[in-house]
Amino acid sequence: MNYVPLPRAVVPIVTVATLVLLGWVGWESILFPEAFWAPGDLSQYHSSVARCVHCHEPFQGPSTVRCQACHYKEDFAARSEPTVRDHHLRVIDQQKTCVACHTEHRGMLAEITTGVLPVSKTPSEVDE
Amino acid sequence: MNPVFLRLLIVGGLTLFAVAGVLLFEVILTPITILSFGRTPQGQVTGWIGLAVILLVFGYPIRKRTQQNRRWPHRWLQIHMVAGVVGPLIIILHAGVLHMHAVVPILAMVAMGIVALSGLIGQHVHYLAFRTLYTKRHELVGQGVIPEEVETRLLDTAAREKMFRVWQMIHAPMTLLFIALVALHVIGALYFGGLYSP
Repeated sequence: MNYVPLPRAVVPIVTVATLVLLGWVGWESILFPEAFWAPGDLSQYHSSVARCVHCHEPFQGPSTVRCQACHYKEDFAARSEPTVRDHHLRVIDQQKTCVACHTEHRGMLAEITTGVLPVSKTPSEVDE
Repeated sequence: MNPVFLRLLIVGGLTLFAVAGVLLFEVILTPITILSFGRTPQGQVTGWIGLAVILLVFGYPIRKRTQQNRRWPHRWLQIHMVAGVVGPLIIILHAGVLHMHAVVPILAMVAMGIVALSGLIGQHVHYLAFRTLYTKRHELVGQGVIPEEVETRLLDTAAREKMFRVWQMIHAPMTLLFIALVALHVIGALYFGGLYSP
């Protein structure tokens, strides 16, 4: 049985359209990587992160090593309240993964901790 | 009610019902998993399963082109139609359309929707054409027209069916765009998330 083929012009048109699309995605990905690739907006805590690879290890996902480039031991010791500090120093010593408790790309106002720590106290509550 | 219209109504209604059901299921799953379902390991596996089912649809066009002088690959067409509906439904569950954010998967989803919808329309056009030919043949035979004359008269009707092949001009080319976008999405997901990431 013979089949009605598509017009000859279709193949070059679609090929060009596909190449244009790929080029456009490539170009826009450099300018707006989060809009083109991320499953959601970064939270307010990480909104200043400029590049995906600051947190993502290529072909491995979010990397604990990259988290600790900013959230290192001394930083927790100097800036965090006791509960948070002790917990994170222990986690770093035990070389546990950050994504066991933290997540991202859930929106600007979303929480990034998945409920393992008690709710953080405000400075006034800490003073009491 | 006209049986052709009734068929269209049933297929359209079932499609909408299935899509709404899958979307609702994804919405129910999401609060349980904190992350949207598609971002969980189970959601990622669902994506791979959906892709595997969708890949089955290519059996039909490949067989059609590689075995041109043999029989119509009827079984493959059936697989093509079933996988062309079930695969996208699994992908809708994986994607969680209501939670989508990134442009690349959104474009892939739109391309998939156009391909699937044009396929459904094409299937209906073919059904309509075959039904018309069948009815006309019976009418002509009933009127006592000789078989050769029946075939000649039916040629006109069959030629008119070609006018409806516009759907094919959308269905096949959009598939190439869909493949390109799916490839981008898969590579992007692997690059940023790894093969299996929470």
